[in-house]
Amino acid sequence: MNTLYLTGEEKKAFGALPAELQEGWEVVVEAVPSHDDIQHRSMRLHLVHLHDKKLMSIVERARTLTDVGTLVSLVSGSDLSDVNDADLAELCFAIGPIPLTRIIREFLSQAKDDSDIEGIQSLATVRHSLISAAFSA
Amino acid sequence: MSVSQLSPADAPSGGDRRKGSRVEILPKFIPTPERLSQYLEMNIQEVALSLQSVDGRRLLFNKLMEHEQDLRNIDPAFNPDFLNEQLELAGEVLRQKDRFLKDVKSPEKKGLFARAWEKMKSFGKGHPFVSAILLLALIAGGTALALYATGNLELAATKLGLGKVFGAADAAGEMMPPVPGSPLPPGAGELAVPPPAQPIPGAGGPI
Repeated sequence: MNTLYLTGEEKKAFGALPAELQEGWEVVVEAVPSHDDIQHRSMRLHLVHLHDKKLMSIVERARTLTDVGTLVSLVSGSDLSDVNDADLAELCFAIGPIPLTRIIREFLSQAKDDSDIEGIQSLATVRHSLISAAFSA
Repeated sequence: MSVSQLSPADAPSGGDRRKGSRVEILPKFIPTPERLSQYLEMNIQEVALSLQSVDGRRLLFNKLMEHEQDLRNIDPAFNPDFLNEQLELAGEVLRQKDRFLKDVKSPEKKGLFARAWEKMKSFGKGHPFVSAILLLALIAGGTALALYATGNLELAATKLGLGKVFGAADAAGEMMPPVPGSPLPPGAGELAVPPPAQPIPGAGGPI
C-alpha cells in the first residue's frame, strides 16, 4: 500500500472517487495549519536560493516588467518541466503548505485516473515534509 | 493581500507610500544570508550559521548597527527592533528549511521525492496552474519587482486563472510577501561593500 497524507476534508473527497482509483492507497490523516503568518511566508520567499538558469532568467525578466499583461505572458509561457529537483524543493518550501493544499484540493476535484492520484501523492508527500519541518524542534 | 489590508500586528515597519488611491510598496532591508554576506563582507556559510544561533545573530546585529546611518539611507523607516526581529525570523526559517531539505535528500526518502519532483514537472500541460502558482510566488519573492504595487500581483493571479484554485481566499495574499527585499545594487554594495562577481537573482543564500 502507498501512503497518501490527506486532511480530513481531502480524505472525504478521496473517498468519493471511484473505487478503482482508491485501490492500493492508504490514507493517513494530516493536520495542515490553517494560517501561515505573513512574516514567515515573506521570509521563506526571500530565502529562496536558485540554481536553475531558466528560473533565474524568469526572475530577471520579471524584474524589468512594468505591465501586468507581460508578466502574465511570462508566467503562462513558462513551465517547470526541465527545472532541477533542488529548485523545485526551494519553490515548495517558499510557498509553504497552504497553497499546496489548494492545489491538492483542485487535483482531487479533477481526478480521473491513477496518474492524477500519483500527482496528489507527490504534492501531499512534499506538504507532509514541509509540515514536519515546520513543527519539529 | 496588500499592505493596506494588513492588521497593525502584521504590518511591517513602514515601507508603504500612498500614491493617489494606490499604495507603492518600498523595498525593505531583509537580512538574508546573501545580503548580510555582501554587506558585512563575511562568508555566506558563516552568515547562515550565525543566523541560526542567538550569539551569532547578536554578532550580526552589532556589526550591522555599526552601519546604522547607511541602513537609514537605504531604508528611511529603518528600525533596529525590526532588524532584530527579522534576524531572529531568518534564523528560524533557515532551521526549518534545513530540516525540510535534509528530509528531501535523506537516503530513505530520496527515491520517493525523486518520483514526486518528476511528477510535478509533468503537470505542465494538464495542470498549468501549478507552474503558475510556483512561478508567480517566485517572481514576487524576488527583489524589487517593478510591478510590486498593490493590485498588480493580484491582477496577474486573476488573469492566470488562480482565482478558481484559491476560491474565496486571496491568491496573491496567500503566496506573496507584503514587502519586497531591497535590490542587489549594480555598483558598490549598499554599505559601500563591492557586490559579488555574479549576484544570484532571487537568491537568499544557501543554508
